[in-house]
Amino acid sequence: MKIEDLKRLRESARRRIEPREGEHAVRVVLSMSTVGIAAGARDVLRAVVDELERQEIDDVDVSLSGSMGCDNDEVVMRVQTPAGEVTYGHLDPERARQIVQDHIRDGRKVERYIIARPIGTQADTGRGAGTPA
Amino acid sequence: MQAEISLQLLDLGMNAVEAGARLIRLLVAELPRRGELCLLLADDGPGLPAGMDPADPVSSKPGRRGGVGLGLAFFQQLAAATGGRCWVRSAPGRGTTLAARLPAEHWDLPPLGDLPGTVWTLLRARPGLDLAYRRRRGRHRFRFDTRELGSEWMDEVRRNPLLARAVLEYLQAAERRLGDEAPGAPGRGRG
Repeated sequence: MKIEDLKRLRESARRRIEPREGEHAVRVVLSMSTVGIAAGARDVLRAVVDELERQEIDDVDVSLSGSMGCDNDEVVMRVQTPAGEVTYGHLDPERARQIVQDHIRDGRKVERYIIARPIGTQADTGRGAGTPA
Repeated sequence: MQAEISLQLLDLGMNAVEAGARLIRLLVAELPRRGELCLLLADDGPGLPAGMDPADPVSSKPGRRGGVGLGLAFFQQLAAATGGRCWVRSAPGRGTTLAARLPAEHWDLPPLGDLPGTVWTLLRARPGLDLAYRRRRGRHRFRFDTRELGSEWMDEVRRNPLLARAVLEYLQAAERRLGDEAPGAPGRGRG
């Protein structure tokens, strides 16, 4: 594939997302801090994007951030949907794929990887069963 | 801490993005004839914080904002451990340039790791960010410069998984071709 091929692909991809541009229903923010990177954030990001593409989900905004202050729980990923926001921790590529499938595609939170929810919601400081002590 | 050189470059690049850089230049050159690995990471950000000594980034880090300068310290440690050299140039408002020349076959030199994945991650770091990536192995080289593709191009990559995957595959293919075209290139499991 050459640069020209990428440019052509852009045109077809742009047509695919135009109707929904600026109206992302779901936002995913992945921590790409020093600790996050060392814990595997780069591979988790790749898994998230790959799984979104595999599931043909194209209305998700995937962003990167610095440290979210959860170094102990890296790799950390925040998922914001119209139904609310949760933060997942201790992620690896396989767990990230599961979150894309269960939470983003099917709307079912993956409780065992949740490390935080906004204050005031159910179990707002709940730590998932899969979280190491 | 970070086994792969590419992860250290990603860490330093993300620091530059967080500091407000709009353009990042990255060069990774393997020069078998000289037995060297040359790295360069330059950004147009605000430069190192005032009072921070590039030679001792952790102890001299002023204030409480941002990290503690570990990325830079790890990189300098890498140069020291391999007997290579490392330079840091920084001026307020004019960005930071980090360069290193490392002995390619040194026992303690970690593998380059997943460079395409690192470049691809940096490309997605922030809307409007430009990245000029140059890669060389011997006389074989390629480059990927988002400025050639248009300023809004990478924003679409950030939004569109199909396009994101295509860009990653493009970078991976270019890296593989580099290996194919360079018989006798150092076989340290890099890339």
